[in-house]
Amino acid sequence: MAVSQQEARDALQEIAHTHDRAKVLQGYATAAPHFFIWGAVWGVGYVVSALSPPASAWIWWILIVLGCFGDVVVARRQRRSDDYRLTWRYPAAFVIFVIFVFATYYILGVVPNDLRPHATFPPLIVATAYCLAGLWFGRRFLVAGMLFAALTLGGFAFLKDTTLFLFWMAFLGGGSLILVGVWLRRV
Amino acid sequence: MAEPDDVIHQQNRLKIMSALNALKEGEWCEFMRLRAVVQATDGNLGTHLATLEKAGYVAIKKEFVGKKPRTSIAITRVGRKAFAAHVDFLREMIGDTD
Repeated sequence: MAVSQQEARDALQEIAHTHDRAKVLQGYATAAPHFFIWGAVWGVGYVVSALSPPASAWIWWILIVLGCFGDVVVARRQRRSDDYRLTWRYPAAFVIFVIFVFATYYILGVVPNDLRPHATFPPLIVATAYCLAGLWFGRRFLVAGMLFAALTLGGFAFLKDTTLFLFWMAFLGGGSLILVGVWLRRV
Repeated sequence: MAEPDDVIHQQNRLKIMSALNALKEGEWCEFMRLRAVVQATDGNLGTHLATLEKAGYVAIKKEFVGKKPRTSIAITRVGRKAFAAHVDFLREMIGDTD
C-alpha cells in the first residue's frame, strides 16, 4: 500500500484529534456516576439540614463517608479491580477538601451558628474545581461549574431565610448535579 | 523503513484504533461512546470492528445489563503494538523521527 506524505500528515492529525475527543468523552462518562452520587449527597444533606438544623452537625459526616464509599465502588468498577492507587484518591481528596474548608472558616472567622455561609462555601469550592477541570478536561465541566456557582450565589444573595435557602440548595444544587451527570452520560 | 498497516490505515479503523488506544490498559469503551467519538453509523462501526477483531487488534465483549444488551470494546496488546508501529510509519513518512 502506497501512502503519500500528505496522507500521512492527515492521518496523524486525525489520530491526534480522535485521541483528544476520546479522552474528553471518556472523562465525561467516568465523571457522570460521581455527579449522581454527590447530587444525592447534597440533596439529602441540605434537606436534613433544613428540617433539623442541629442534625447538620453530624449528618454531613455520614453522607460524606457514604459518598466517598460510593466513589470508590464506582471507580473500582470502571477501572481494573486491583488499582487501589486510583480509587483511594477520592476519600483522600475529600479529606484535603474538608481540612481546607475548616481552615478557611477558622482564618476568616465564619460565625459558627450561621448555617448560610457554611452551606454556601463548600459548594462554591466544588463549583470552582469543576470550572478549573473544564479548562483542561472538557467544556461541559466548565458549564457545570458555572451553573452550580450561579445557583449557589443566587440562592445566597436572594434567599435570606435559612430554611428556604437550604431547600434551594437541596433541590437546585443537588438536582443540578444529577442533571449534569445525565448530560455527561448522554454525550 | 517501517511498513504501513493495511488493516489500520483505513480512515474509520484509524479513528477506532486511535480512540481505543487513548484508553488505559484494561479499560473498555461502550459501543455507543465509540460511535460518538468515531462519528460513524452503527452498521459501519460494526463492520470495521469485525475487521479489527479478526486481525486480533480489538476485543469485543457482549453482556446484558438488566434486560439491555451492552457491547464494549477494548484494544488488545497486539492492537496497541500494531497501532504504535503504524504511527511510527506515518511519522517516518513526514520526516518526524523524534
